[in-house]
Amino acid sequence: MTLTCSWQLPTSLNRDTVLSALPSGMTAAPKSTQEVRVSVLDDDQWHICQRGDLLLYNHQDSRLELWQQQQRLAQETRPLTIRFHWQLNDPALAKLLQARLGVRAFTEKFTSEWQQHHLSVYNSDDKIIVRLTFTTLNSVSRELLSLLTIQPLRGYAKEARQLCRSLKKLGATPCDQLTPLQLLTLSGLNVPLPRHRPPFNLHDDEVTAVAIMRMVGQIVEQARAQEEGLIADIDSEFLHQYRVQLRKARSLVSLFKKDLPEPAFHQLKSSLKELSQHTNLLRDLDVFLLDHDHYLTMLPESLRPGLEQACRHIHRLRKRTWQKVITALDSADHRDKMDEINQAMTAPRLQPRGKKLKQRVDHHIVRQHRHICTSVSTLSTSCSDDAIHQLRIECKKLRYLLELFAELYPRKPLKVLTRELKALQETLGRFNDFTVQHQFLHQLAGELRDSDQKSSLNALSALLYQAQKQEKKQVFSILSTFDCDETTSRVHQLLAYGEPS
Amino acid sequence: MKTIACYSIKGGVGKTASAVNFAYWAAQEGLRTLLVDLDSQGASSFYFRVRNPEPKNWGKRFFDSAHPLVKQIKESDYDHLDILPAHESFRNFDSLLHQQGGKHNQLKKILRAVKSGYDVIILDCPPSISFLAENVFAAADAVAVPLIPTTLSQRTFDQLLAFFDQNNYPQAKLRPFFTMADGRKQLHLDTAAALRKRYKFFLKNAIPHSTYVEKMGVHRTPIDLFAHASRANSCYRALWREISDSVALGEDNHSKQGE
Repeated sequence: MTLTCSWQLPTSLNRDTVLSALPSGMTAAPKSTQEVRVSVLDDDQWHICQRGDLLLYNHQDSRLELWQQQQRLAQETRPLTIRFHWQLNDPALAKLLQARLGVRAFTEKFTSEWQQHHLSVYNSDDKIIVRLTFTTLNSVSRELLSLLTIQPLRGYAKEARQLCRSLKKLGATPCDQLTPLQLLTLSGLNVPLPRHRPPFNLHDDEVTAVAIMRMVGQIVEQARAQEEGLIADIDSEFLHQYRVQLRKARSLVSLFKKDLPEPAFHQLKSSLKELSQHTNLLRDLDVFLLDHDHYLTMLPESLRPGLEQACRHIHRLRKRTWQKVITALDSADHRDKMDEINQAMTAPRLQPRGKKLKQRVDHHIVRQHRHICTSVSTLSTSCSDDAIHQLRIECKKLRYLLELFAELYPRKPLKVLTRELKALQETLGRFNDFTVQHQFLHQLAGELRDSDQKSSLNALSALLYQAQKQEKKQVFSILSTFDCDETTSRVHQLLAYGEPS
Repeated sequence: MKTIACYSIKGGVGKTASAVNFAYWAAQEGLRTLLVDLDSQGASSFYFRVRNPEPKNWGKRFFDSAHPLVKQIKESDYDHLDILPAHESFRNFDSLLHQQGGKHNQLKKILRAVKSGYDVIILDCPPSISFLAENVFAAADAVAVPLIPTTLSQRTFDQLLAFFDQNNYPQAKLRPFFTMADGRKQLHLDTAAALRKRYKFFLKNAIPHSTYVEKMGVHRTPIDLFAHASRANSCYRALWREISDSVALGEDNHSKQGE
């Protein structure tokens, strides 16, 4: 078997000194020199690097490669402008990146350059026995770093060992076989640790209003952290996360309105609502465009060109809508809204004494769960879509309560309860997605003049309506298995934990 | 995996030059190729600058197990091409095979152990009909037989056909082709025409008489490396294509190359 090994050369040792110290009978000849410029691509959260993989872009040959340790999993030649897995031609690479990034974009996170000299070492028969690669790069401390990789040809391990012995004598230090990640790390690549959401540091006995204000502040901060990516229009996840955070903040404010000073409540409620609202259309357009490929497969061949045309229109509409959103984010009005939120949270109107947090959260969990059970028992197959939508909102509020106040509860019973609500929430979520997209397409079709586009969108809207009706059946099938007594007992188990019996 | 032998009863007909150039072109086409130098003279190992292995009499263990054989494999200077170099002890293969009961499937069995690592194994065989030759006939999917279009070569080819008949080896394995063919010599033209008429399975492509084939020994490389534009080079390449197509070898590779 071949044995590849790497050596770090001291600064006193250059290529010529190494070559002049080759064991007798060996000679070397240069083969090629490469200036390598490599970029590490990843999403905003460094998801690929954090799992130990690397998505590399080689600028010399426009090659995109996915690496795992020393193994190249897949590759393809594409321009650097490609940012999403669905834009790739190679299905294997696309699938691997989909699993790692979902809908997130991969962009340049780090770029490094190094020089590689490839040489062959010959024996006295002029037969190649070993291949050498000298790599020179600027290390993170800007010092020139020289590395040598020795790759013996099969059957020539003995000669390679001889070569290694002479390198050792020269003062070279053996190092692990260099992986692309190691080379990049030496060049200064610093992969940040996974970002965990900072805890709210909640205490059972703290004043509810104080805790809620602190939580809203942190959540709004997390929403604002998405603004940069949203403005740069990197991928749709920035907007999605922005809206999710604002929704959480709004949910908290609305659930605990009685605990908050009235002026602060009103100010937060209206400011957060406005912040969310001006991104509604952009999110609808994003969702449509993300599903575009799937929608195409839903339509018969004859209606696809109309949908393609409509998509081009939607792309243009999205661009205009995004520009409006970023203009709004950069506006004085937006800054005012943020100031209002900050003022509301730091207002001295908060009373130092108030109801204890755990007690209030317990109360809301019980109440929210009761709302769900009441809705479930009253819903019938003839109920309106709005009634189902309302149930979804109640479920979401309960989920936010369990998620946001997880610090106050033991993990295990919390997990059990969350799991029991999950199937219901997922079905309700799908039903809502179909409803929103069906309505969105119906409305869009009404605004279009072109008859082909109109027909395609109407056909798609009809198909989504059918899918929505199917999903409604699924909702009732799930509701029929939803056991309120069971979940009530789970809620009680959760709240009773840690209480004196 | 396919095994292709370069074999002739007669010496000096271009077996080794053919094996070397076939192995080179197979590897160039991206096929993982092993050239096994069964001739104790070690000429094909010499062409690839691979030295004979050091262990004394290692040929004695050649048919025992795969391990010592795998240990002797050397990587050539070219991608995808490995060489199993000859050893002087290989000259004793016949007596060794005789001692082991004269079985005909010993070579096939031992090559099975390395087949997973290769797409094609090319055997460069010594001349003569022997136990080793019978092992070669059993192991090979195709036996490429170089022939100089002369009376003596014609005679040895007839002997080979007769041997195949007597021992029930399928003649369909045979891929005879002309080497050192000289279009200026009437004898060559007549013999080639007569043989092609008699045996329809002669390969279309032939290797012309060329000084470049002889110079392989000077350069110690396949012809492509020092006489890329020569006719001998293009003929070897075409001949390799014809042989590999005839055993349905590397169809994917060929289509890739054509893209």
